[in-house]
Amino acid sequence: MSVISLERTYQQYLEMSQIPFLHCSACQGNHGFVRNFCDVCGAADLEWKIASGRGRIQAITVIHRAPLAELKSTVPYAIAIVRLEEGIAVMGRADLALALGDAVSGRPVEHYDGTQILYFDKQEK
Amino acid sequence: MCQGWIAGTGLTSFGKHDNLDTLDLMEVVANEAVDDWGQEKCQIDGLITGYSTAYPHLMLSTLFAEQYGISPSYAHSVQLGGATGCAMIILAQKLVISGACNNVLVVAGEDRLTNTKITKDSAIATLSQIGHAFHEVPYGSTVPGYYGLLASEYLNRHGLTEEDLAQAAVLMRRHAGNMPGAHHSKPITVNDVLVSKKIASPMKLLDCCPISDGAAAILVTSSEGESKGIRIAGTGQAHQHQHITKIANIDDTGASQAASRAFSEASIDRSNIDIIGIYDSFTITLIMLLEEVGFSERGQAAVDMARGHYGKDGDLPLNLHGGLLSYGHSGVAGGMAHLVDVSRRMSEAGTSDRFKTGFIHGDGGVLSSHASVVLERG
Repeated sequence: MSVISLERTYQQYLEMSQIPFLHCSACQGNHGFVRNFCDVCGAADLEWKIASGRGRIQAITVIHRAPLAELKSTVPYAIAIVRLEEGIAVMGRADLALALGDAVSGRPVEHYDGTQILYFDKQEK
Repeated sequence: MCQGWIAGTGLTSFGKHDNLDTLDLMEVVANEAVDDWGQEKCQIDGLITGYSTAYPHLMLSTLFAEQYGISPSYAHSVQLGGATGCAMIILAQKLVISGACNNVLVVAGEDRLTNTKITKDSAIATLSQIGHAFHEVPYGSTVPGYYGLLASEYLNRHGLTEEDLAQAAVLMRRHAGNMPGAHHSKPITVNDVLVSKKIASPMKLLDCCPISDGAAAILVTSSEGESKGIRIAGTGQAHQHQHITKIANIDDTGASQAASRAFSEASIDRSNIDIIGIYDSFTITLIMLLEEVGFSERGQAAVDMARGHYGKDGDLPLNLHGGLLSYGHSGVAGGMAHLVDVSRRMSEAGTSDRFKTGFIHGDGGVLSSHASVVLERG
């Protein structure tokens, strides 16, 4: 399996409103980035699983200077690294009111270019 | 065994260099280093260059060799982001130690600021591609954004504030005030940093290095007699992750590993280092590197800066040229400026007695690639 085709599959899960990740049944390791083999134990067979979407804000920044012309009109926006309860870290857009340590829940949303990206907001109690 | 000695250095002013492109700047500074060496450029048998975002070319080293009029027996273009400067010196040391080369020219330059083919917008867009193409770049972070993410976690973990980060910007500006050729030399205060334009929280404009034109060169030789008497005593690298999302522990990014390898090879303890040059693309970069390498205790680098420890008259002078934050950042040459400045202060009259050992560290990506160099006199 090529990484490009794994990325395509990842996008397809997002389009179905699911946050996927790869799981190694040999060492039980979970991977937030798509990859061809487990970089913990080296096993070749990784299987897709669906994350709950719940996690905590591990790092967060509010972007005031966008890198692309297409994003300039959308500043300020927040980007976070979220530690999901499955143990993996993922990057996502985040609600501007969020702070480090906040419990969040995530879902895929449509980006300006039509692709799906992860978005996190405060977890409902 | 052959050893690598620093025989000549060159450093242009950083800021604007109108009408000089990447290759022109490299030529200017190569001439300065060769003049400083006092030998002929035809004796250069090794050439190491970096890359230039303003002049993307598949073969920058040999492109420059032709323009400069040399025919080296070894040429190499190195690409490790901000770690490239130190990594080039490491490669030069290894080429000389192995006997493959006797006189290696290490040179970098870039008109990143005034090049008319690239705009500030396109430079920022290019640099933001250091994120993971699929899992990070689409979210729209910039390089300051990636370091802002790091900073948010680091400040929280070690109980630091944005005022603490600002200390690093103030200190670099103070040092640049004494350095001819610095891009920014007007003094600033902690408050100036705090109220400067928002870029990517907690990074404000004055937490970020500027984009500059400039160039730097170092001549590394196997001949102690033709050198400044400064030996490349130990070097080390570490590459533990590429992308910020893959950092397992922000207190262990690889800086400590790279530094330990360099100290071990040099048989010099970090407590015996007299002067340091530490990569400072952002205030958070400098704070985290000082603490991970171990020059300051965790959470104490800003306190050490404020009490004068890292000042020109302090116990461990740091980036006396003003660093990337104030001398300026012209890509690969920005990371080489720390090397040039430390080696000059170790060899020049007036300061050489005080500085017998030096340590320089560069990081590329998001604290991804680390390269450390220990210099020793005699």
